[in-house]
Amino acid sequence: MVERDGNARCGGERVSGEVDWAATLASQGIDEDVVARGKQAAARMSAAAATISHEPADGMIPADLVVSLMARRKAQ
Amino acid sequence: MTTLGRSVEEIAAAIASGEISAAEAATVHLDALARVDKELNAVARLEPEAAAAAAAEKDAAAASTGPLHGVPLAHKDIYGRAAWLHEAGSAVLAGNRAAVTSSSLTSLDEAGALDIGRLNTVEFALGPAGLNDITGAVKNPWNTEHITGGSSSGSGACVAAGAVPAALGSDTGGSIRLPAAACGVVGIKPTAGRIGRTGVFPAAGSLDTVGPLATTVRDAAILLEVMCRHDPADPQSVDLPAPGPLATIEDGLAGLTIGVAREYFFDPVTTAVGAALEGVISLTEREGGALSDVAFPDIALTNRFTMAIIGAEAAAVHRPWIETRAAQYGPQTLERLVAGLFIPASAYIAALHQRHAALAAALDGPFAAVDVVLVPAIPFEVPKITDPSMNAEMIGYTTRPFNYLGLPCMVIPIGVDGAGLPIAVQLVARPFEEATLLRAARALERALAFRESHTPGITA
Repeated sequence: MVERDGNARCGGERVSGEVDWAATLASQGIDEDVVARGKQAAARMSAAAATISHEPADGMIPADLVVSLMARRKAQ
Repeated sequence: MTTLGRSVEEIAAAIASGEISAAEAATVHLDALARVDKELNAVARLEPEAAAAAAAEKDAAAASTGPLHGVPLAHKDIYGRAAWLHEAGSAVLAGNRAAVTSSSLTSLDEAGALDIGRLNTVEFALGPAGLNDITGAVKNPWNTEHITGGSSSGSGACVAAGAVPAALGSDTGGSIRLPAAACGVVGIKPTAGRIGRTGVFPAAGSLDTVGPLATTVRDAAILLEVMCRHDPADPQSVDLPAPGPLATIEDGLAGLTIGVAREYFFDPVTTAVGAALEGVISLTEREGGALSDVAFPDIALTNRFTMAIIGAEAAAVHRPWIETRAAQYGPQTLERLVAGLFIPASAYIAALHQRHAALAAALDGPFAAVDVVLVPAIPFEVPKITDPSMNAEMIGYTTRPFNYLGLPCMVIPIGVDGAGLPIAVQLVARPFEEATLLRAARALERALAFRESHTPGITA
């Protein structure tokens, strides 16, 4: 995935730790509504998977963390 | 002679016969791109010096360097060429230069093509409408008030206007097929893994596919054949022989069974689009194809799964930049990326886990009985750029499921709506059966003669 690109190595560099996205984005002047709308959109996108998942879609582990971990594992 | 509006095949023949030199062709198409860009906002940047140098090499060569010898092409601004600007339609990567040349461009280079520039894209290839808050919307050459579809928006517009005969795009949820459909050109998304993606900026690695938008089905076949090779640096790339589509591309529909998948895919179809599709279904039978109704089990779920995968994987790519440079993103892109940050791992993993089962169900179900499936490309008329009711999510309603399934599919134009905007059909085949797909598409293209009877309002 990200390692496909020779010079845009962005993902996979921070794969641990919680981020307070509302605070992080607010510190950059981004309206807090972006986070609220993002959560709603994520819930819509995740709803289909939740209907067949054996795990509760509780949002405790964000998917991008898994993607980054998988990318790092492949790179190793 | 002019090579504007001509196909790859026609331009290659003109250069081979000495009607025009590669250098002349490069100049003609660079000028054309600059010209149409003033009205379409479709060009990211031109590369006249590199194009002239490559063209001079072609003209000095003792023999043809390949099937694309001297043919000028330009590509979506996510295809890296070492040392060239590589900005992906973004401010985040402003001034960024590619470290490597993408594997698919290397394939085109080795077939003799000229690379003359980069075409506008939706920011980071994340969006189906062709809008971009950073570089502006690309305008549709059939009517500049309307969207081009995206995310390979510049590729669709420039091929439709005849400024280049073909251009590479990328397709994560429909981003080759949607601009091809909206701009009235041919677009093919090959089977996942068919064409290597090294050096192409990623949107969502599990779903990203690269391929051409082209003037004709034969052109799409020529480019596909050139680019189908194993890319060891791309974990999705398969090591299979190229499909060799030109051997059977003129064989017609006789002997093929075409499945019409009405359930789900035709649900949102409008009257005008429906009439055009029914016309093509009838034509398919008249051209000797057998028809059969088919249905994909649980196909609506695949649409949602695709969105969850794109959201999660795109968020992973961009997360460090969102933490520090969020204000550099366009508002629409940032909203989409932030949504991806809140997709739970369980949903993402569940979406990935269902892929093999869904593909198996498609192969055991509809594709057990038919060779090609026919569905709409965009189920409604191409919206206006300023249409406040535009539902971007619905634009990719019929395309996203096939990224999830990894199936090869393509679109060709079949008519125009009341406003003169193109209507297209989407054809789908079994994995790695691009030759069958192209054969069916070519038969319909030949029977419809769309290119011979329709011209966009803005041409090069």
